[in-house]
Amino acid sequence: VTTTKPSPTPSCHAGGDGPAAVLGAPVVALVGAPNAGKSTLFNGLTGGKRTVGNWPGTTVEVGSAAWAAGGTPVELLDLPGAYSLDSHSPDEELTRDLLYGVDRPVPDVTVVVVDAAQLARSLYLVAQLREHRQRVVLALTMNDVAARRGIEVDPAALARAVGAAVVAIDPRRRAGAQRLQAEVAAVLAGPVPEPRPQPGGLDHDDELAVADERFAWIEAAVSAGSRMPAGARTTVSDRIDRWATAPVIGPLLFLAVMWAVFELTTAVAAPIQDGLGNFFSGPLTRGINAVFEHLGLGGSWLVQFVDNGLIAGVGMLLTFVPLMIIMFALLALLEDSGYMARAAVVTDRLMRRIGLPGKAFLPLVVGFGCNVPAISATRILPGARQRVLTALLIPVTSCSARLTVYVLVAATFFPAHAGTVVFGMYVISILLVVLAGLALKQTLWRSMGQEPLVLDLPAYQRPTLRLTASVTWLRVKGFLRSAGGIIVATVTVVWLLQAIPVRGGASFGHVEPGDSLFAGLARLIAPIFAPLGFGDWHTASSLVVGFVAKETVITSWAQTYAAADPTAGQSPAQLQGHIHAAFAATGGGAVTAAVFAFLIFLLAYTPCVATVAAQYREIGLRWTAFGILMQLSVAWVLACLVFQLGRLLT
Amino acid sequence: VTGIEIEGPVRARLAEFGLRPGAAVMVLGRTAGGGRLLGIGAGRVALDHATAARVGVQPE
Repeated sequence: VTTTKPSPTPSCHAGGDGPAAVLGAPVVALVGAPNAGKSTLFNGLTGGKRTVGNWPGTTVEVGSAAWAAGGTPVELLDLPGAYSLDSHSPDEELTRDLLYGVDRPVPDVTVVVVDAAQLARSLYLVAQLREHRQRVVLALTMNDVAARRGIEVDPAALARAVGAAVVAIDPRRRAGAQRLQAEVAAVLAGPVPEPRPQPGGLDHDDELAVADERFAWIEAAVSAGSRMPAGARTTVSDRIDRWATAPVIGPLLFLAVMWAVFELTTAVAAPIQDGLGNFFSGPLTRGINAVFEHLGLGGSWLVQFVDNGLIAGVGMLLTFVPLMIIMFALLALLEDSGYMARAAVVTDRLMRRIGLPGKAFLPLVVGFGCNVPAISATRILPGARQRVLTALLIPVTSCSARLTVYVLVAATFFPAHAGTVVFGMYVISILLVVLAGLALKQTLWRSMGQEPLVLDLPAYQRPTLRLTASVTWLRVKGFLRSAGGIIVATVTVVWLLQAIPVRGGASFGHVEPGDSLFAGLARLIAPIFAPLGFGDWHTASSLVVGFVAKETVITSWAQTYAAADPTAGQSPAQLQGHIHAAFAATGGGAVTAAVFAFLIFLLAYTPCVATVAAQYREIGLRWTAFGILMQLSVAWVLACLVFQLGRLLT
Repeated sequence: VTGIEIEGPVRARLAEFGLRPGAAVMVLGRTAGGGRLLGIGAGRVALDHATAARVGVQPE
């Protein structure tokens, strides 16, 4: 048995755990079925910022934070979801090891988050836990969903039946936390209860007999603690699902939803983005320059760095913040509503064709936000080969950093159809995932078994403003943090290389852009991209810089062009003019083909150093190196094909 | 449910969802790809075509 050690995930929108716990404090573990609302509860209790979403498998690692249970400081652990303690995948294995005390002592109290609408299913875990000497508290969630379905749960009766305290809570609206705190404190103060009685003569090695005994216990508990409505009835959720997962209509709806997300994003964000860009290049630059003049630093290299480095590079990137906010908010709405699980059902057959279970769709969708957490999310998959294959495919899913470049390029060359072009890039991204999957399946994994799809569909819920806002803010913060860290560093390095003269005899910081060390290096690389239609040194170097992170393609462009322009601090329109001219020069009459070749190359080549690091952590050095080689060669060949074919046609 | 012709972990997983011989299920619809949507109590589960085909059901 291999154990997966919990470790922090590097991510461009990483969640935070909250305040660190007091050392040696009692340990309270939070467990429950996937999607029962553990992370929402965890965040509500501790003020932590775990990523939450209405689909199974959002949490794949253990979160930990300090919490006070009625005055007693405790360490609260948020564990990955598990239906049972029989592990099928590494994240479930992690949960089982922690609860059975494999690597560390058994938690002092285990809070099982129980879905009131699906009592029977949620209680299996309780049945297993109660076979051991453990303090257990049941936190009853989804009481509103249960009520809508006519299910009445009596917490007191249920508590008597399972032999553990039961507290009804509503983590999405932060209700009941006080009662839960009090109950955990009371249980913690009491003795460790004896295991639940089991019939004598039960053969513990006979898995079927053991499972049957548990189901009998669950049935008794459910009938004692709740009342089901007479006769089965369908809900609004079911009526929506009849369409949302149906043949033909389901996939079309999925495409329409995704198209609407990107169309809305680009259409709403564009004017705000222009306004911000003009503010940075106009009033802000003038204001800062005036301050420098006042200090007697006018025209110095420091002014150059601020104008051509920070404002041109980072400022340009910051104009994409409104776009990020809108897209993250829309995706958070989809996640919180429960639609993502339906999307996994709709895409199951397609995933199967490329040798992956429908469940692998979930990490791939996360990849469209950011590849880094997506690669960690491959841990929800049961098979090692599926995890490697999925982790190799994720870099082809078009992350939000690439979106910024698409938007800039699409707005430059196809202003009337920018939304459609951007949507087209996502369709191509999906096609590339399918083709790469097929190619890998045919060559490396011919013996890949067929994993069945057994997927829980949570009831649709009205997304709450607070949850959507908090998930959105979490991800935007990640974007800003990367803009503040790695991107400022990259901008600085690019500016330094640009400030060092290699010919023309100018002094440091006053180099003609074409005479700088940066341009010299870029000209060496540019011929590689000539057959692809974008052999201009500005573009070639921005792609090299983009290996660090895709946002830096824009900052590098903005920097190299800003340095060339005496009216330092560029408006987006000026930058677009430069890019337009560059592609017109290198495209050899087939500008559109060159632009598409560029977009394809951008989509397909290595996304960022953080993704490479995450791959290295999940699938090891050999597969990571294989992945990088595959990405670079596929990107180059595809872009070359697009440009050369496009040139023949024009 | 009259019978489930699946062994091993998948059978256990189905049982965790309440899908066991003798259980009452609602067939709610067909999914893209030929699978089925099932309602077991208040829970909803999507099964792919091959798995759904191995679950025997008879009308009540």
